[in-house]
Amino acid sequence: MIAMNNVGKVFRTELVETHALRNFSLEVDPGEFVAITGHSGSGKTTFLNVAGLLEELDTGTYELDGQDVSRLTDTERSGIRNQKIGFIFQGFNLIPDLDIYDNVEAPLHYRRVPAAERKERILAALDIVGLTSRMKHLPSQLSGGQQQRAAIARAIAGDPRVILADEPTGNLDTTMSNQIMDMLEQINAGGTTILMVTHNPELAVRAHRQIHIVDGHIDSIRQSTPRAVASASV
Amino acid sequence: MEIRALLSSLWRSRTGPILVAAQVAVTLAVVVNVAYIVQQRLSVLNADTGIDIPNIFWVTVAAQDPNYNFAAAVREDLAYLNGLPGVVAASTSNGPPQSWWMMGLPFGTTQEQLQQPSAVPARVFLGTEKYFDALGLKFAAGKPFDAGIVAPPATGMNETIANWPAQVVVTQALADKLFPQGGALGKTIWVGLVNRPSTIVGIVEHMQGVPSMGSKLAEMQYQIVFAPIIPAGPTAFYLVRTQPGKRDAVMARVEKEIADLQPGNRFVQRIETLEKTAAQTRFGMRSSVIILSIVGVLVLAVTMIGVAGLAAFNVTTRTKQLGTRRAIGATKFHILRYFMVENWFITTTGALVGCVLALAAGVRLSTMFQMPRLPLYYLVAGVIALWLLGLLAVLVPARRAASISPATATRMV
Amino acid sequence: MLLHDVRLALRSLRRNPVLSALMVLTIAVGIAASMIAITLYHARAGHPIPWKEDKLYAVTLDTRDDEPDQGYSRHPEYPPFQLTWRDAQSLYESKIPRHAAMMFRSNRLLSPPSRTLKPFDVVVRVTTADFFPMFDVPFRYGGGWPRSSDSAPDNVIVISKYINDKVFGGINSVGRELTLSGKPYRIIGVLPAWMPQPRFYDLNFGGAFDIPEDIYMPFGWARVEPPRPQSLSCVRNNAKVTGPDSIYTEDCVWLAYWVELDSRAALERFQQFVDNYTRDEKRGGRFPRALNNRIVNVSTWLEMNDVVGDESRMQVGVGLAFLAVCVLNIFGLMLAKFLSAAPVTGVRRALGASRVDIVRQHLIEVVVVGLIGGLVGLLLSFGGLALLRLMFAAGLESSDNPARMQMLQSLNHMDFTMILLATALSLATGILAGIYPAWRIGRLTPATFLKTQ
Repeated sequence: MIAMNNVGKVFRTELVETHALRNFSLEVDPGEFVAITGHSGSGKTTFLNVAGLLEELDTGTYELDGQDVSRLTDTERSGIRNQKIGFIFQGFNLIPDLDIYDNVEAPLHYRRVPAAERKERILAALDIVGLTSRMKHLPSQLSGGQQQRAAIARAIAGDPRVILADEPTGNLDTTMSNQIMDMLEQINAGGTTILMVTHNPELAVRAHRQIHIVDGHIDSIRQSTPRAVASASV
Repeated sequence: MEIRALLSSLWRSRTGPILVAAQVAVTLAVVVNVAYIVQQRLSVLNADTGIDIPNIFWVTVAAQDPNYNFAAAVREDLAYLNGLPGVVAASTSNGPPQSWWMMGLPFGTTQEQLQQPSAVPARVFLGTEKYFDALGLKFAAGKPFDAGIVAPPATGMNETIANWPAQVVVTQALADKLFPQGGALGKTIWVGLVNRPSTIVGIVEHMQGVPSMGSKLAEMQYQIVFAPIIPAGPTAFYLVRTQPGKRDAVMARVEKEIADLQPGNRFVQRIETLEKTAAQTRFGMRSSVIILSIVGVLVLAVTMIGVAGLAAFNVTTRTKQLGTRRAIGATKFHILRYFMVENWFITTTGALVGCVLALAAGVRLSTMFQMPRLPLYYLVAGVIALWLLGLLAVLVPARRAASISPATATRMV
Repeated sequence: MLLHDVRLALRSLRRNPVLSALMVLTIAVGIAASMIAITLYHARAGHPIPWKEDKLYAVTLDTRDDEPDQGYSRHPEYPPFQLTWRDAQSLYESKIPRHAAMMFRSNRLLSPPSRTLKPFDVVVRVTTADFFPMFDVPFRYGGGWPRSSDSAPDNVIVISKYINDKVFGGINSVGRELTLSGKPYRIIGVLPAWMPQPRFYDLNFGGAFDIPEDIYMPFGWARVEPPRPQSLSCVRNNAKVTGPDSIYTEDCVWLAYWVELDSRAALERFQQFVDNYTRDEKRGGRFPRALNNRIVNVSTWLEMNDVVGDESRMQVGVGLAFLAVCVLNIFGLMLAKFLSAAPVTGVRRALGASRVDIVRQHLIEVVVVGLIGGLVGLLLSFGGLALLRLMFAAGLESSDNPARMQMLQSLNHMDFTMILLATALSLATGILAGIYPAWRIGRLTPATFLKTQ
């Protein structure tokens, strides 16, 4: 699903060059649930930005869903984000002046989905996250967990191939975190590939694979044993 | 304080400040010039006319009888008007002063001067020896014409002019123009078109015919010749000055009585206070003063909104930074001062550019309206006004910035 | 998509009601100020008789003395705007023009037949017969007079609608008699409300935006009751006005002179005729200056007379400068607003909005503000113009001709063109103020703002 080969990303200011990603190679299979861990400044957010086509890569190649996306125009990247990728952020990043329904609708708008189909998809997504009764509420009227569920609904409404989650539970308490994690696993079970950045080892072990990033390259990869997954979910 | 840091921070996010500066520049150019035009017009509107406007009215009496004896009627009317209780003086004339109506002729000190460019154009007002009292004009030298010299009315303007009298009274402004060395009283001046000499028997201190902006023609409003002539009929024109407070009563009485006092099937054609006449000639200028003032104030208000808006935006985007500053020891005053100084720099930059714009616009306007060049102190006043208004506008957002809690720094927004 | 963007824009505007109201008001005030100024300008700059632009010509001869200019006129190169009595008489001999009119303005006392109405002063235009067909003056009843009435006095007059309404109650008064300054005249024509704006054929009295005359009288009367100017102005300063006739021989009587010429060739022939006449007169010592006879069409004539006026131009300048301040203001406020909402824009980018989507969405927001502001501004300008009308009305005499009121009203009336212009202006305002902020916000990289929230 994701194939990165020798990807490099450099941030330049007048004084310093920061190699945020160096010779970064990674393959993620369709349907896989991968956790990315690392200290702050390790490059995991840059990785997510590059993987989510929010930023261009400087060197190397990147194939997403069988398509080479290493050198695309801004508009092409926007289109792919819209079609194939769903984002979930630590800060939820719901649009504050749209209600939940409209928030979920936003990506569908950019895809020019016909109105009837739009409605169908939104309702289905809200149903999955259990927010059907709250769809006329504004984000500010919801709890953190509810907001994140709304964000998940927004991410899955477009039926993406990959979901990129950036510390999805970072702003939530343990109960809420577990709820969100359950939801992600359920989505993953439906076949959607998930990449999740986190620094919480307890959550990381719930993924199929944990990739640890240090200084912009992969330091170690650990395959979770089914037992580890099972014990973590207890 | 850290001026360099402030300037470099301004430079890094320069679009907003540049916009506000541009706004200040255009505003300064508009406001300064509008204020100048308004001031010029106000000074004309409020100029001393030398005339006792509030106590004067005028009346025109027309006759329908073809055999109307105009000369006799005027004589009797003048006697009646001057004899009325409350009347100071009444005279015939060729039209109300302070109206657009005007008669002008060229004058010179010699007959030859009349044919040269140095001939001086002047307004001509016709009246009896009582004309000066009827307007409340003050004499700087000499006296009104002799009563005996006022000839009976002729039959038309050209005859009237052809019979130009030997005595005239002039204003000081005309006397100074014709006789720069002084000593105009008793001198002879030549009257253009009729080509006749007249002796100056009196000099009126000051009179302004009609308010008018500084064109060359406006000089004529001060250069006036008064001639002892009763204009041709058959419609008579009288100016009447009353004692203070008696104008309306006398006016009502005259309107009722005067027509039927003489034969000739007469009627009062028009009767009006000079106050109203003067207000009407000033109407256009007065309304333009009002409109321009409103526009000036609105432009300033819009600019203040812009200044306050930018400052408010800066406060919002810098909340965390400001909290940090407070945490490391900046006082509320420091924060307030930071915004004030920042705004002062923006305003000053804009105002300096604005001065150039204002001068450019000023040159154009001064040729358009033949006004003197925009005086530089207007620019100074404009810059100071914009400083003050800018600081006032930035005060509210700056105070909000100063009240940001130092704890903001440690808070994850 | 457009509808969706408009909805988003309205929602975004509702989120900051105070800021939005300020922006709308700012644009409204700017639009109103410029629209009021432009409306007044537009009214002054109108062409009163466009269909005769290449037919009607004002005739001017440079009769002036050979004296250096004294700075009283801004255009010393222009000849005097009227012809002397004798030059007008001479040009009237020419058969080249289809129509020709010499004319002047005068006053008479009108004594109404009904006793209930007080006699009153009327303004009279004494003119040759061609005045009516040449200026396409419409008739309500009757018609004009034959050319023969112009050579000797003939007691016929044409009256305006105002006089017909006031004296005869608006009936067909053709054939009735009217007494003017003691002489009886027979009415042969009644005009409807005819009001060329500006009153191009005579810009001298009461200005370009005064109403036409009350009464029209054949030029034959000018020969027995000649013009009696209230003030004297002669070609030469050393003219000698010594008796009743000298004002004619000394060139102190002035007439307006207009011709209608059928073709370019006729214009050239007439110019030739006028120049030849001037050359002949030079031999008698007149016309000391170089040949400078201007035969000009209505547009040029209005321009030479500066009918629009500097006041009007200054108002437009101030109005547009004001609008510029407003544009800069909206520009800055919008930029600030957009940048402070950048994180939300970042989310939209992450969700797949392309740059074009973002730019369009933001531009539409500014344009919506511009159009709402324009609408409010249009209302404000209607209000402002109504106030001006009230102000002008207050400046009028109650006894004044109602036509004068009508004239003033129409001078600050917004027509359809002005409404279109206001719309275009507010659209331009929005685009001008919004294009940079929208572009700027579209350029932000989506990743920048996602983490900071």
